[in-house]
Amino acid sequence: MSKKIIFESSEGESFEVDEAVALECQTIKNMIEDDCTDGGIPLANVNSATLTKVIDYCKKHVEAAAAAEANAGDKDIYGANKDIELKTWDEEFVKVDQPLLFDLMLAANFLIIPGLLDLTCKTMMRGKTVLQIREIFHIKKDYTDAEEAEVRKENAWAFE
Amino acid sequence: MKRHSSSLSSSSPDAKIRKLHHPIIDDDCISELPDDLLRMILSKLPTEEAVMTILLSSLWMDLWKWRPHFVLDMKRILDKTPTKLWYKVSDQLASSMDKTFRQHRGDLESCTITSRCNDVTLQNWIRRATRVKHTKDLILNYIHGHKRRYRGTHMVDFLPEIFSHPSLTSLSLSGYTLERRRAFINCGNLKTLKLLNMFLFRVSTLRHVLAACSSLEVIVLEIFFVSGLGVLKIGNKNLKFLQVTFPDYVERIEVNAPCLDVLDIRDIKCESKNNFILTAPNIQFDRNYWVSRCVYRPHISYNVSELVQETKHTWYELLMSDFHGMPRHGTLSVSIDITNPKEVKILKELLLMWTTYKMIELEILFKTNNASREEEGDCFSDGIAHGKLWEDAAPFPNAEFRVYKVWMYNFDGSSKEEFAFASRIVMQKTVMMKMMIETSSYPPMKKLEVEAAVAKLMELPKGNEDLSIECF
Repeated sequence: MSKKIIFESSEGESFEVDEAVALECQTIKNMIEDDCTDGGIPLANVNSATLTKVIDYCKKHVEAAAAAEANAGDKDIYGANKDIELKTWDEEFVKVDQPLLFDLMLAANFLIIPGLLDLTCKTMMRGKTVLQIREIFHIKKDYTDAEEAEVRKENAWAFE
Repeated sequence: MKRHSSSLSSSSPDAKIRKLHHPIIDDDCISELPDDLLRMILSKLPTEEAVMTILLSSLWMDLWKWRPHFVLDMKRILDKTPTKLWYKVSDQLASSMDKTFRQHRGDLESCTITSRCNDVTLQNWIRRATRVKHTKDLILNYIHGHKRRYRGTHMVDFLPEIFSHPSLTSLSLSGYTLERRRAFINCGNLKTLKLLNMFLFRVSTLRHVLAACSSLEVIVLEIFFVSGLGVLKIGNKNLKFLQVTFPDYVERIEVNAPCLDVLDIRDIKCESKNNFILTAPNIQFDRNYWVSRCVYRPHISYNVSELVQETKHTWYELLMSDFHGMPRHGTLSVSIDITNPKEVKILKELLLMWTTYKMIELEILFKTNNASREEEGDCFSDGIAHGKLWEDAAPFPNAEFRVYKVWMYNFDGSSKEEFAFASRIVMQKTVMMKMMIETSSYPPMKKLEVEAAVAKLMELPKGNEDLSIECF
């Protein structure tokens, strides 16, 4: 039986996960090493919906790594195909609404999950116009029109 | 410009948590994020998309500037510009890109310049990228007007020693004509050199370039020569990976590389085997297919060994790179310890490159690694028992892979794994015509032993009825 770790979301809900899954988070890994995980780990800044997704992500990646390891021999190695499969899974994983994506990124940053941080950062603004970004994130424009024209002119190639 | 959010990174974690909790509702919470996180988000965007975020608000003015990878790409715009305007447009682009490039802060991991700008601007950018930005990986591509696949016709006279900055370890040039070698003087800093779609006047120019880059570990060459006369000597003592595409005649090639593990001959035209001299102990195979019988065949020679993940990945990518727009074809020679799961995995990846075409010939040199086997006992450090490696009957490398002829060297009939491997490719449909096992170099007793093992192989139910198994 593998050791279990209990997470507590900001709503006070408990989530039990295998230690191996929890170890995907560098922050938790440090806590486990320091032996201060008894009685659960309260995550006051991660809500249940986000935590569920984070655990899904860690589980999938632990499983994928274990499968890759087992296949380092022979038996059913898909090699590169396996990586593509995981990539596709990742892409599907981040097809969520913007607030959840944002929360996931913060959680990944806080829990230190490099893969998830990279994935969410990549997805956050990619392929969006300045107008779309401004709308999604409620960023207020504080340039005058003249200043904007100046900036555009300075970096004209990027705006073409 | 003052960032009010900068106070956030210095505030206590609890305060940050409260602030960041339940973000995106109405307020601009993304601008509240710590700078390093915002920089990270922007570094994942293509360079021009990151530059565009300047327009968001004044807080975003400087954030894009800290990206570790910088791409100056004129192709995106020139592609939608009529060719007759290219000269003018690329000039304007160059001066605008130059302004942006000057705003970048910090050092660069990589810098890619895909351009059609004048040489002065290009060389200024190279110097900025190397001397100011300490770029490790520099990629220079020239944009050609027509879809000429190989003919790089833009002559550029790079300044002496322009690539010699100590921080620069990897250089890729594509689409240029190189007349002189002076840019490569004192380039002991370079570990990787790729010359793709390049045009060189003389073979000797390349010889001098490679000699000047004394520390190279990876060399990728795709080169047209005006004159193929002369001897091309490649004698880099640290060289591990060499990929060669010479569509034109080259009189003589001599490779002397004590550490070479991979030789990927994609296309060469030497007159005979005697005009390609390979001195590389790790990949000294018997069947140099690429020059046999005057048929120029692509060929990979690969000494399989446990590699660090990064190297393995880099080599795999290079082997998988565009193969004249065709699927991989030709032949393969490998030397491998078939009892090592990590090496077997690499072999599998190699074989699976032949997705469309059947492999013509496969040469396997069995490496015995008795010393390490005894030391490590039955188990590798990663917990895989190698005894189990060939026990199950799953098709290797998969159910589709086919090879016409297999040549085996140093086959040890008493090795359980080697026999299991051989019998598996016999019983599956993997080998189609011939399996040849070299025994003539063995002492008499050993020879008898191996021949007995081969006799057992012959009795197995064959996947292909026409398959013949022979000793030679």
